[in-house]
Amino acid sequence: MHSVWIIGGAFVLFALWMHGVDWRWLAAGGAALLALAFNSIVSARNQAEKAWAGIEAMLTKRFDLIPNLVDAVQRYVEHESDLLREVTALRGAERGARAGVAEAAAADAQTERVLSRLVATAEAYPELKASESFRELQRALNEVEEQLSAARRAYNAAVQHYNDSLRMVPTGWIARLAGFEERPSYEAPALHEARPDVGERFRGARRP
Amino acid sequence: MRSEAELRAFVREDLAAHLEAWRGLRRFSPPGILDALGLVATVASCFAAQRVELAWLFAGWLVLRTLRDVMRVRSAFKQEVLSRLFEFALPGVDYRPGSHVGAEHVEASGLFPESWNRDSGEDYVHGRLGETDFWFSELRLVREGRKDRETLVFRGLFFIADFHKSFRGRTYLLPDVAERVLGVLGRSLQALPRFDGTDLVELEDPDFEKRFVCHSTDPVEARYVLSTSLVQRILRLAERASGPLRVSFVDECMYLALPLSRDLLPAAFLAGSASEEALLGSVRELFSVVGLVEELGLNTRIWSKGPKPAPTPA
Repeated sequence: MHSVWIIGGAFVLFALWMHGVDWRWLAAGGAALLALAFNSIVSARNQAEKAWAGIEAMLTKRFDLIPNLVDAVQRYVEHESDLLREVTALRGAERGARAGVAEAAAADAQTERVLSRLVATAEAYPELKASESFRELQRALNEVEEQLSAARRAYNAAVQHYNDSLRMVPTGWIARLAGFEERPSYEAPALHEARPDVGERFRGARRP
Repeated sequence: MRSEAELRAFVREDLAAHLEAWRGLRRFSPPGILDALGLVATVASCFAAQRVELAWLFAGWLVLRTLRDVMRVRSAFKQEVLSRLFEFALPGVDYRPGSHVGAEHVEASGLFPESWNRDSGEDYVHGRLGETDFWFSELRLVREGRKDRETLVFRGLFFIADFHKSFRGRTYLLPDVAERVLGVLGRSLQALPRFDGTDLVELEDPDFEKRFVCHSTDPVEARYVLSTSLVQRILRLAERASGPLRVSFVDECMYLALPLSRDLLPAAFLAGSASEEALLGSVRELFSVVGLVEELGLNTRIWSKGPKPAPTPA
């Protein structure tokens, strides 16, 4: 968006130069435009970093729910020991989520897959489905899933804006000189295949 | 919501007496002492003093009297007939024909950044569908300028529903006029910092972006509120609307302003407009507005959020 103002500003400077305005004024104007271009890239990068922090916070929030989820279900699904072990092991994936965007996306997809299986398994245990603590946790999980989805979309929008500013003229020239690098977007292909429709499953269980 | 067969049976059996009482109101009221005195004085003055001013006064009096009678009949139709029908059609619904959604809620919605200084409306409805409370009314907002010039800011349906997710910020979806008129420059203008503490949020759907400009106090929360499915639902609603749709998410409520070129629930005066078909048409109109709750997926209560108290009508 800043490119429009910078290009407009450059045209104004050109027009002023044609009208014989003092070169010192033109130099000051040029420096202001450069500063605006540089600041717009820094601002876009900061937005992307802030959005990434949002994803990390949501991933942590979801990981924090896992011990409570295990506590709530293990009494009912003792026979599903493999699944419980997988759920418990997800705590280890939290470290992976901190390593980078690709690693976080992989850990995110794995967590979502396992939690989706857990929710599907709970369908077979009416007592568990009726348990108030499990229902509360399921609501909390739904909320975190939606917030995480929003954080992913916000991150990808911020990264796209930042990367665009690195590719566009004239901000791209300044970015190359200043050594700014593109950021990867948050790709989670497995997520779409295995995304649990918790809403549909939960529709039968109304709040008291 | 009742079925059509139930509604027809209700109109034929339970509502028949009220409809008959309403039809009684439509008959001409007998001339009173004032009418008789007016007529005598007019005829006497026309013949004796050759003055016609009194005749004009008498004609004015008759027009006013007729208008008052028409208003009384129209008001009685909504009060005595429609309110009973709506209570049956949607049990628990609170219908107040003369009220409208209060100005404080219109202001809180932030849907009309352009100034307005007079609000009016009718057909206030409050009810609950599933676990979602909703309130709506017909609303008319007018800006009174210099020399008593009036500009119509909005006329249509103003709908409020308790949103199914918790949120703290404010998100507005307004018609994207600047980008449509000025293109990229308009987009750049929209991205400039605003005084209300909101920032431009660009959503992924290009069709949605063409139609709406989204501003929010928190871009992540805006995307939490505007899930991809809700974006699609709002888009479908906007495509059907006769004018530019405005939506906002404030104080855990969803506000929606849908322009209408006609009355939401027309009041009947002629006998034909109170026929069984016309009455069922009004119920269908009510159901279509209440249906927004399902259409926008607001009854999907899978998140941990409690109900909200109802706003007071004006």
